[in-house]
Amino acid sequence: MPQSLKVPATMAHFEESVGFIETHLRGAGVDEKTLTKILTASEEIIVNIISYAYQDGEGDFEIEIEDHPDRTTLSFTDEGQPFNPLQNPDVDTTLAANEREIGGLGILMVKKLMDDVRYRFLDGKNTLTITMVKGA
Amino acid sequence: MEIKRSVNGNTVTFALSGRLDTITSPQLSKEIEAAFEKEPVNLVFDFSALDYISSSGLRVLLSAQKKVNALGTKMTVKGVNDTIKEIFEVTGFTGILTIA
Repeated sequence: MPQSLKVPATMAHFEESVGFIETHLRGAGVDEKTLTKILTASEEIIVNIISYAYQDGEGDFEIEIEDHPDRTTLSFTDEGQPFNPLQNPDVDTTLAANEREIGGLGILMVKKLMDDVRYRFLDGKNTLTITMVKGA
Repeated sequence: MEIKRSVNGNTVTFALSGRLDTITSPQLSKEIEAAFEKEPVNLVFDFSALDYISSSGLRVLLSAQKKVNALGTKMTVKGVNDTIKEIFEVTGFTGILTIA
């Protein structure tokens, strides 16, 4: 059974969202290292939705968690501006400190920490789905 | 997150515990700014009890490293756990930071 939570896309609901993910993944017996990676990626995705999805108003976002024997999948859905976070080129990670820009790090972390990341825009909804394969 | 600050000569150590995330990063940023108020200092970050770091935490470390580079002082990060080490690697921060 997928577990889901739908809350307004505001910082007031940030900790509740992260807490929901942590509680369910712990309950599902996901190992500590995978949990940390998923929480790190989830934070980046949630903060992006809260910051950018509803620039001209307010709206909700939904988190859905599916834990399978072979993988754990989380989906983040909003009804804001169509935006594919995977379309931008990755930041150049070889630059020295003084040349580094501060943007683009969050989505890079999501891509690198997760085994699979997919975006789709369907029926006016953005959905970003992240997957961690078990025993990988 | 909890920040424990200790001073030894012109080296300021921040021992962090919990999560350096969107909510807590501004707090660390303020502490670092305050450390530089009187004189150029060396910074040490003790991450032994830190569970995770988000991109907002990385940005705080990057701006601290830039500040240190500009002043000619030193900055070291120690006690990094495996996941945070992986995050430093995939974001290229291993090439920017001095990780002890």
